[in-house]
Amino acid sequence: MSIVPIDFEAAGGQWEVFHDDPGYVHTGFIDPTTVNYASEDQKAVLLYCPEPDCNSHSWWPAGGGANALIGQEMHVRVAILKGANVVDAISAVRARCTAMDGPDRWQLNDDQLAAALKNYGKGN
Amino acid sequence: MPAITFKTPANNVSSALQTALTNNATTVQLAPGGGAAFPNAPFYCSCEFEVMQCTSKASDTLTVIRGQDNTTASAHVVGSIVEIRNNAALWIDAYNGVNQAIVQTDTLTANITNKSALPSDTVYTGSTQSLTNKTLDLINGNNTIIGNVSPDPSQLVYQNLWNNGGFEEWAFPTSTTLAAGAPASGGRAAPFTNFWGMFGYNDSAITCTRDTANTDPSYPSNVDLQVNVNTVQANDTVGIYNANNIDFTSQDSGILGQFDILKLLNNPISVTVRAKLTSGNPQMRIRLTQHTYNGVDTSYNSAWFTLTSSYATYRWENQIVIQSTNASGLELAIDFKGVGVCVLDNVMGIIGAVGTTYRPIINTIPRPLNNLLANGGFEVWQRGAGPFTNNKTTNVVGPDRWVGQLGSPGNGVLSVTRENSNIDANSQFSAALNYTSADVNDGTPGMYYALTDMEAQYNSRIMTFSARVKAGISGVRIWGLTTGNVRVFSLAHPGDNQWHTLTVTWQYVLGQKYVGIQFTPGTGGLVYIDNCTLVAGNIPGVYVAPNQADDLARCMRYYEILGNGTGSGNPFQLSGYGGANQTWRTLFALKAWMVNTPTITKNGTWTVVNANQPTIGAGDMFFATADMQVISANTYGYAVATAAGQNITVEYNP
Repeated sequence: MSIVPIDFEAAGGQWEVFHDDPGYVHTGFIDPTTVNYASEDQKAVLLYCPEPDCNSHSWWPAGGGANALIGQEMHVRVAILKGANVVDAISAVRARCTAMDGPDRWQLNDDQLAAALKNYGKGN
Repeated sequence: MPAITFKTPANNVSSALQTALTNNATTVQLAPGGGAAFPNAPFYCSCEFEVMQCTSKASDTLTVIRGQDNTTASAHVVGSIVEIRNNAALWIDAYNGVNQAIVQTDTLTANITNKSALPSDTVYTGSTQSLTNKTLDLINGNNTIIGNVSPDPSQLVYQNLWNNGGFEEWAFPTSTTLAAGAPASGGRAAPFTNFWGMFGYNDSAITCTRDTANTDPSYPSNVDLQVNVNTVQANDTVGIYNANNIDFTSQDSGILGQFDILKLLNNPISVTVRAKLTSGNPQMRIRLTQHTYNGVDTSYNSAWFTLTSSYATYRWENQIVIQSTNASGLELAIDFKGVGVCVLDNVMGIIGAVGTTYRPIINTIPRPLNNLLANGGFEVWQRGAGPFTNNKTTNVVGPDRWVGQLGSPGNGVLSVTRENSNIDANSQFSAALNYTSADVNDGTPGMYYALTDMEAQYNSRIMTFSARVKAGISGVRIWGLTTGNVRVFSLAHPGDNQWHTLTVTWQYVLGQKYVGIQFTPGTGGLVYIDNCTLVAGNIPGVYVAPNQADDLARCMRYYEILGNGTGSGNPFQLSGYGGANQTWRTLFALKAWMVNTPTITKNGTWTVVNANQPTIGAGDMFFATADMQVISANTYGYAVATAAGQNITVEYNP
């Protein structure tokens, strides 16, 4: 229940996003380069509902909040799109996750994710 | 009244005096060989007009009391006849004996009538006499009851002192080995099934295996224990043990608590073990140990038994084990030595002097144990009534704390809906799971619950998960997760479209933090689940609905809605006054402390006056902030959530 990416690899490099809070069933696509941090400390990103005039958004912490796997991967992808290399992005997000929620919260497989995202944000 | 000693009568007994008899002599010397005709003393004998009583006879010499039967002692010359006659005293003694018996019989009859015949501490109750402080010894030296006793004490239903004495419960791996160590490596131990552990010393080894091929025929049994032993050094043993007040495998209380242990003080304990030899020459003995709080343990062990190839009962009985008021525990151990394989079944221990046949522990009082699940009754649906349909392979939370799941690759469709018609007893809602487009390649279609609030405290404990399930399809099971992400399943629902309780017991391992319900992949249908319990121990919990506020509060640690957007009462509102484009931050405390940092969602288009739509600014387990930017300077600006759907949701999922 939130505004959540359900496909990070939709056509055109977009993210398919789903908004399923009570009373909302919105689905659409967003440009991930428009996803920004909620604050300079990069502890959270804001993800807006793609539905026009919905005016809803979710504050996603680096720990993953409502969905650890998706939330953590979203942070890694945002970090990459903001210019970090994949290894540094994973390391930085993992550090923020651990600082917020403790060492047991990290649920991604670093090596698999690094391999999967090695070309992410590079236009191919 | 002293008993009468009758004098021996005899016929045709006669001899003569060998020497003269004075009137006060007490020794009668008969003619040579004359004594042989006389009977053994005592008897009356007569000489002329005097009757004497012989008190002893030695060959031909009689020792006598003179002047008996109202006669006068007098002198008798040599050759006088000494003989046994039918004298009056014989009859008088008989008359007295008969009269004495009549008097005693009359007295006994009277005492029976007035209930004074038996000792004073005998209690008469109607036609039954209760014997107090009397010992009835009905057994011979082999502990076999002599005669018929009703009811047969060996058939009385005793409470078994040992949990899982029949080895029926087995929430552990099928086989566990305590491998041999070094010749002087010392002792070691490990659990192998519920309530039972095994031990070994030095370079000895033992393997305990769940077996179903050699169950005890004397009592219905589905499982027996196969023990493979290999002891090397003469003084080393291996064995199994069951501590009935400490289940070291799960930390659960056994039958006996501390106070119960003390009630065993100076009481006899008896143990019977059914066993048979499979191969080799292992010997077995039974050992009972008193543990104390000061660390002094005292053991009482039987002799070594040589096992036979057919099931037999091996006994260790009438042992006063708990002898100290400092006792903390009673432990049973079954030791082995030698090399070979044997099987055990139906271990029975009682408080009593004679061992009995096996009876299982009957838990007659269902205990409403502390349910570790929040929303186990599916009464809390903060997200709405659903249906909550799995979107691709993304798991979807429906009822609070419960997550629908298809599992990769997720070709089927699983939706979860709040149900108010097909519900269990004493329930308002259940969860309806509708599995459609079922695909055998769906990984794990069903619904799960993450046990994040209990992880560390329950590590390695035996847990039991139960659920009320109604299904019209076969193969629906509930499960717990153990080492290696392996699901331990319950028996399957029969698919008769009736409510049944499914139960699974397993050993919880830290990190394996899920329980759930699962369809057979590819077998779709509609299933209802309600009133789930998760309890410590191997006894299924009885679902008792918690206080609704408590249940909701527990759920709110994972999901809550701030500002209901009802348009009345106390709508959620931010406000500020200041310079143009100045941002005002409002901090609001969460209703319940979240488990960890949540996702915070501002939903809907709020009513704003001289302000932009608010934005979530920060958050953690305890609070969230929303930022509102005032547009025009020195004009009051505000944003308010007044309609349904305008709110802030806070969500954390494990």
